[in-house]
Amino acid sequence: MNLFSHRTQRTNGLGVATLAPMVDIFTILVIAVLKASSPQAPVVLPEGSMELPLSNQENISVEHLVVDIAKEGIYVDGFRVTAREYWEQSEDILISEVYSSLQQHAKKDVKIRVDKDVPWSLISKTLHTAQQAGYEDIEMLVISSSSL
Amino acid sequence: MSLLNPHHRLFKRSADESDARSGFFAMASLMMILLPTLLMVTNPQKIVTVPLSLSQASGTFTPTHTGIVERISIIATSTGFLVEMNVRKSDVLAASGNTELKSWTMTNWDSVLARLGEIQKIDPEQHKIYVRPTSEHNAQTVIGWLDSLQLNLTFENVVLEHPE
Repeated sequence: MNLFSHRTQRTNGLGVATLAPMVDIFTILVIAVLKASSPQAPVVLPEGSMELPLSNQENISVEHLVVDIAKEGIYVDGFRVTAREYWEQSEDILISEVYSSLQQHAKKDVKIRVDKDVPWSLISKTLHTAQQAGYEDIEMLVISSSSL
Repeated sequence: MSLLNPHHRLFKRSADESDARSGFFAMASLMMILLPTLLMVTNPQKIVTVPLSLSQASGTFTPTHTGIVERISIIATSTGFLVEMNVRKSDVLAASGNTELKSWTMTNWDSVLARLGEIQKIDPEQHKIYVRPTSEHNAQTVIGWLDSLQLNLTFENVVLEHPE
């Protein structure tokens, strides 16, 4: 004989009490995934070891002409145009190879993608070169800190 | 007794009609399909853009802002930062460009932000700032500065100058 009689209510399968939190968790997960991810194609970097800087900005990028400053070289539209080390040490502020390549593309806006450890002197030279080549709208591509 | 009385129905409602389990189960099933699909089709790396404004190589400064603070600039040094502010002279006849320079030497970025917050109180309409990093600062550091200036202090126009 039981001292404390307890209910012997049978529940077959999952009850509302167990399903409701699961639906809540899934809803939160779906919203989190939608907020943190991007519908764009995965980024293809010219060098595998290249890491983009992180930022808190929220402006989604649109693909345009891209200049990459990676660990080894400088690339315009995916094609290597010069070595990074040479221009890092050079006193000249106009990168001639990048300048001629950008002039060939003849556009008005360009995106710069740099490795997070690239010194600002080299980035500044690249920005100056793009400006001299007639590019008015220059933006830097970075990884959002809200990424997964 | 009227037949239109809603309390007297020909067919009684079954007791388990209000059971929400089927609805919840359908929702849970949908989510279980939706979540992996979303993870498969979306890119976990969200690429965003930082707009860059560059100073002209040999340009001279022309004040366009009509407020009391005409120019704010941050010059990074090897030991810290130099914050400079061109403030219009208190003389009632002082015209645009007739300014005096005030400068502060800071050792870390937090104190720079605190000083800029005080400058913004003097002239809340000034949203342009000039930043000059050194050659040694890397991209991540400068992007961090841009973030805090644009997002925390609402300087919409951050002009980057070439390191000397």
